[in-house]
Amino acid sequence: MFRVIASRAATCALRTVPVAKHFSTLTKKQVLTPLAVSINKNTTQIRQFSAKAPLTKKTLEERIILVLSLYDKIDAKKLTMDSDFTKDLGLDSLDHVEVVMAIEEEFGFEIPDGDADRFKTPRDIFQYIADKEDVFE
Amino acid sequence: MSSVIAKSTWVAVYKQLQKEASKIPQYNYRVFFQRRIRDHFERNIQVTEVSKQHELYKEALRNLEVLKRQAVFCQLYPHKKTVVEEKLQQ
Repeated sequence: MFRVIASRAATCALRTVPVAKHFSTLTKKQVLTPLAVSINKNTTQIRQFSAKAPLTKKTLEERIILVLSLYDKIDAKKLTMDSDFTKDLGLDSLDHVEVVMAIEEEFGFEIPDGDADRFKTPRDIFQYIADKEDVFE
Repeated sequence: MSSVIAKSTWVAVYKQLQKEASKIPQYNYRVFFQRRIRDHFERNIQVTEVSKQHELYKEALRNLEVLKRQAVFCQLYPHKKTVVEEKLQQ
């Protein structure tokens, strides 16, 4: 029994693919009467991932702002791309970790702690993801 | 064993704990663990004694193991989403 574990962006689908069964010619003596076997029962499961949505600078900015505005401790009115996390938005280091985790979940890739420490404003996050995901236009 | 534990170490442990907590499918357990992890860290944020810090760190690692096992168990049992979660998914 295969169990599908839901991935973050739910971009993974499990599909059954019929595998062609090779019939060998059996002699009369060896013929077995299968009870309820059909050719389609012989399947393998293949996991398919879809590609990530294409990123432009504008959508990247919007997504970052969206993720941050959904976080309860951030006041959406004070949130801009250049507002400092600690000084303007009043977040402490634990909040910073939670924000980075939310960003990781949104964009689907891990951000190491050393890089995460350097994020001081949403603009830093934007630059980092643009570098990592090769977003140019 | 005579130095204060660095902030980056604490941050790493916090992140690992929160990551494991977010893997739990049931809303009530997941939110409880996330909130309690936060509470524990906030309560002990100003501890400066070296021995106490090391003790707290060992406790954090022990709780991380417990959480990891618990997350696996919670995923094994059948789980029905709450009404709010279902509405959000649609």
